[in-house]
Amino acid sequence: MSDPATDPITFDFALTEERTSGGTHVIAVSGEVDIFTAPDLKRTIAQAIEGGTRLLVIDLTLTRFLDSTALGVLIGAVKRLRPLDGRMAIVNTEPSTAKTFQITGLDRIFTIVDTREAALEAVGTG
Amino acid sequence: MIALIGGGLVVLVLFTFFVLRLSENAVRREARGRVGTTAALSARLVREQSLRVGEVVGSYASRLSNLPAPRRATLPPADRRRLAAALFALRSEVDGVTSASFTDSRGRLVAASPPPVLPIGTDLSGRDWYRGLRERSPYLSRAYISQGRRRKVTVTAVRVQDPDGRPLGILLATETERTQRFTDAFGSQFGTGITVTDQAGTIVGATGSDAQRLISLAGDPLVKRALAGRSGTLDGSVGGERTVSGYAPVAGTGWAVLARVPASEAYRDVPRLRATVLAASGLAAFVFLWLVPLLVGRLSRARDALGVQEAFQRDLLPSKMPPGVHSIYRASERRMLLGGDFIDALPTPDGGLAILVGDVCGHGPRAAALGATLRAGWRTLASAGVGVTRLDLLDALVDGERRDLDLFATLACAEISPDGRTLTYALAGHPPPLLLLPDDVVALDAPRGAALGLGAVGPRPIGTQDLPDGWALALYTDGLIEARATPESERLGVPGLMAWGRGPDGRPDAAHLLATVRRLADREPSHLDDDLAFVIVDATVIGDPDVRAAVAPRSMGRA
Repeated sequence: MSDPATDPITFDFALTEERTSGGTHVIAVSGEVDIFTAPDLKRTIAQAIEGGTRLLVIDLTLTRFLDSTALGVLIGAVKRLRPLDGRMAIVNTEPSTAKTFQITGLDRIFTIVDTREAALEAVGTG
Repeated sequence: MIALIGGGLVVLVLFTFFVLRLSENAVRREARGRVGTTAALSARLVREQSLRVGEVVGSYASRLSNLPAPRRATLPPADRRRLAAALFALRSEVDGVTSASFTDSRGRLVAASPPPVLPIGTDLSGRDWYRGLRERSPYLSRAYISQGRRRKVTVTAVRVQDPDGRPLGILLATETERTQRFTDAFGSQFGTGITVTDQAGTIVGATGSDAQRLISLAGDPLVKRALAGRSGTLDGSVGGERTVSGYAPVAGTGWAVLARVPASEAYRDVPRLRATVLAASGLAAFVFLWLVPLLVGRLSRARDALGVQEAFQRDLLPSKMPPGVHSIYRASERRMLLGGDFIDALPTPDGGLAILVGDVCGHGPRAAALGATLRAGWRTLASAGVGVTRLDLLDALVDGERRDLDLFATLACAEISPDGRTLTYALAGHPPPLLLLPDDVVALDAPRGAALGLGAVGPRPIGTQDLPDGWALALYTDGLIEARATPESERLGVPGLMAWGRGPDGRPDAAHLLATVRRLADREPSHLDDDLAFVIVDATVIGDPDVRAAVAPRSMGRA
């Protein structure tokens, strides 16, 4: 059970950050985002926004699972960006995550697209 | 806690005090014993020496037993020469004897070697040895300063008798410094000051003292005791320095011995002992003053926190469920007890039943507080008959109450009409309730409304469903569908839960669903990633005898 690939706590969660030439901050999330890993995502997003980021793309292409805490982090990000005239787009192709967005009604609040290119376009940069 | 610490410290101080007292006393007793032993040993050595000198002088005296008794302190010339030869032999052969003399039996000087300073015939019967010989022979004299060389001397006096036991005279052997050498040697050897006094308390020899002066210690209480034949030890001070003294009589001579050791030397183990005991006590006091309050404080804070958590947790659940409503609630232990799931069920004003299951995203006191607030808010709506229709009023509650942008809440609520035939429900970003029909399990996933706290989104759409005989309705939180039946298996998901809604025969079975969810919840709570709430009602919850009869075979009354 100590195999990290099957341990539900350390399920190969990882974040990679990238800043495009157009000034968009891209955070790619892989693995599972839950009560234990969501704080990492929250801190990374907060640091990006504090660092001046106004255009944010959260790439969930490699994310297998989001729990409600992770949803809260994404909601918080949108709410933080709103008064700053910022924009956020989410890349997601995972059906269960799409279902979660649907159930919670977040699909009406988030800009959710299939590819990173579409997301960069959605926030207004190429 | 103050009382505990105070009591502990008092006990500690008393304990330390007694341990110090006991162990110091033991060490002091032992040290004093050592000094007393030193005094007794010295006394014994002095006695052995004087006995030996007495024996030697006595052997010379026996050589003189065939002398004629002196007349007017004179002897015939031949006898005088023999006497002179014997005195010379005694003086030169016996180590430590500096002069030898002979008196007649009345104490008048007859001869001496070396030749005497005093005239022949001088009456020495006033000397202490003259009287002392009446008691014993050999007799060891007091110390006095010799007339000729002005040196401190002692005299060993032995009676000389003819073979018939008639007194012929007295043989005297004078010694200087023997005792002084002994006390100096002993002092340098053992670091102990030894003082030997004569029978009048005058110093014969004392470690490091002036050998040629007569100093009287007759007033010293220890010398008095030793001269009285007693031995022992005493703490005292000499010249301002604290000392430990032992005293003992020198048997058979009337002399006395004192042994003195500086207290710092005798009790040199005491400071170390004291430091050890005090260090141990200091450690114990540290434990009491620092560690105990820390631990007690932590404990009580943890207890307080648990109390607060439990209070919050209680507020997330109704104090009493209407009969027929079955619920399961587990806070994930991974989330440290306090969850954000909340449930409720209460009669509506028209006699129906309203049910609620909700979930504040997040955990801990803030989530629990918001959950309790939402439950109370919804309860107000439901008791006014608008529990399903006015969820938008709860949006304001979330926006107004929460202090964290990340917090949001989802809920599902339903109302059963008083006749048990109509179900109305509303979803605010919540997983779909399951409706168990006689021949189907349905997820009520439409119409959907958005979660609470995403910014005002207006009233949620309301779904309506006719209820046939034998229905059951299950509401739950995502902790259930995100759970894994076993640690290795996939998350349950809505489809998995719908499968649980069917019994072994494949037919919808509310009792089976309840039992299966309970098994999951009763499994090790540490397997739950999230809090879990589950509420299920069936037609028996509505007091219609016909309905109850219709569903009785499968109702949860049997579960």
